[in-house]
Amino acid sequence: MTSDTGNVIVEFIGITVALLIPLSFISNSCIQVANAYRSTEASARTAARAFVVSSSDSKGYYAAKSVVGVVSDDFESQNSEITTTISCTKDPCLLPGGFVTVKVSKVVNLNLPSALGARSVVVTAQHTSVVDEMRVP
Amino acid sequence: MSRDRKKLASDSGSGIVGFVLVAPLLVSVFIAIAQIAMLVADKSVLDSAAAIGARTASAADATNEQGRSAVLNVLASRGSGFKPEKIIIKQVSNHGFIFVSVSVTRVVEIPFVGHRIFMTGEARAIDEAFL
Repeated sequence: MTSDTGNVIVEFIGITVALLIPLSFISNSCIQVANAYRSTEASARTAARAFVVSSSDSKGYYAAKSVVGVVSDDFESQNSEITTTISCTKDPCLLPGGFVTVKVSKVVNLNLPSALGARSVVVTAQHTSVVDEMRVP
Repeated sequence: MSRDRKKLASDSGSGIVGFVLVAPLLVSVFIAIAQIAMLVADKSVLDSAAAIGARTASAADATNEQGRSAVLNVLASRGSGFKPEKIIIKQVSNHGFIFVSVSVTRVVEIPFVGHRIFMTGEARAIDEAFL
């Protein structure tokens, strides 16, 4: 009973269970959040660009929202809710010299055991694009 | 108990023996982690290259060839040996808009295992020429 024989093997198995398994959950969650951040950033940037080069405000809104969906798909983030908010400094938005800001928020559902409490994180990114000064209103 | 029998019954050195048994497992785990990290880094570069290629080619006055050059520039930042197997840049229709779709594929060899896999980075950007 007092022998130390085999204690290293027991410790290895103990560490594997107690350390590596939680670590794998944590790293998986980090990857999910990082991926969501890249996705929201790319979506916001592309949507803002799509808005400012559109021919009218209504087309711009439609283009921006469509772009967010398409770009998010590229990051395989179907498992999350996406909210897009568009704001402008001028009315109508596409007046020359105006700024259009697209804010994309995504709720990332983390693959964590329910015992750990919070299982979702909101990731937000925004991008502002300027409407061309030389644009014909 | 004689001195020799006492020596045989002792636990001294069992830790070293245990470590020798566990070490190959531990080394395998570390190699696996390092491999995964390198694969993730490669995938990240491919994704970035595809995204920057799509952004470049989607500008109103840009061509797909300029998008390809942008992809190659980003890949070169990972080292001269980081060459793509193929780069596909094309215009695709989605939600009533034209998007520039960029797909960058590279063959990645996994050391120790000797296995080769195809890794692809993909990105799309709305083609501003059609807005």
